[in-house]
Amino acid sequence: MKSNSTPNDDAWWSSIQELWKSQDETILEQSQTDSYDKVRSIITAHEKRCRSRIQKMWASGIAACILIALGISIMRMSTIPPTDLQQSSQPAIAQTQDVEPAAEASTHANEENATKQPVKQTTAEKSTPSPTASVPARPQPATIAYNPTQVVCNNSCDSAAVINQIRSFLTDTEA
Amino acid sequence: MTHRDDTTEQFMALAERQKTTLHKICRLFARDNAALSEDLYQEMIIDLWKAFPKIPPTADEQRWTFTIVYHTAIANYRQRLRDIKTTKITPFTPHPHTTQEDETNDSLEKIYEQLRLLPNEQQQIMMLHLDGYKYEEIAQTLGLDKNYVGTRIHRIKEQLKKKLAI
Repeated sequence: MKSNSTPNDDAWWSSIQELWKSQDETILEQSQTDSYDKVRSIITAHEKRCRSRIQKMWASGIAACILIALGISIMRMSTIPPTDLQQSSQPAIAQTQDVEPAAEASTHANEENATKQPVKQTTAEKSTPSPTASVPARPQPATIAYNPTQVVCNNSCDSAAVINQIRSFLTDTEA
Repeated sequence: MTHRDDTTEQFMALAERQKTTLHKICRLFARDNAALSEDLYQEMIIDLWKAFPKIPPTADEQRWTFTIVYHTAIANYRQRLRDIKTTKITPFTPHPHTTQEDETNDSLEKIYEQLRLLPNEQQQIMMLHLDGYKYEEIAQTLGLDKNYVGTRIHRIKEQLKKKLAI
């Protein structure tokens, strides 16, 4: 290492070092006038950039919060309250149950409408006390006819057919 | 005067004292490209400014500055390499004032050329050694073994002597 170096090497190296250090004076001379202001301007520009970046971050954060809040409120508004759901669920189920078999049974129902009508009428008539009963007995068959579960159980799933049945039943009872 | 103003003034005094170190590293990495040198100088100042509050009170100011700005220069150099890979390589246009005017500058440029050929660690070792630091100080600054630093310096010196006919 250093012990191996000859005096010649040392002289060479010190000349290199002198040369290297000589540039210090040149640098100091060249950058004497503007270096202080330059450093200041660099720092100021950097601080400005940092500040604007922080402001942007804040702005985007606030915007994100507002958007989230808006989203939550829209979600809340769009969801149906549980009480409404309970009310609306029954007809919805009945409707879906009506629609699916309706495709298959629509032709059946139309054809068998005439044959089924008497059957229904007889069941309905059995529940009523007598054909010559007084007026207060009327609401009873009407409630039975509107019951969707009963409609499903009788396999008459076509809504048009059901309405026809109800109409004919009512006309019969009135008669 | 506020604490912030005080810090700014202290930092500016440090930058003034250490500007030779900054310019040497700028020249090593940016060669004669004035625009690149300017960009690198700004990055160095910013990195120094960021690191300034963390400077240990017992630290050698010059070595501390050297370590920070050298790493900034390496990062800048790597970034440039990535940019060259991803974009079209533009032919290097030398700065109009690149002609070496005097013999001293020529000789200095030869030293810089040889330093540029060295790996980063050896560059740092040699730059600190050229600035007059002892093996132990260099080893301490770079986190290396003292004997390793001595061996490296000896080998690099031999290489330099062969290549430089100063």
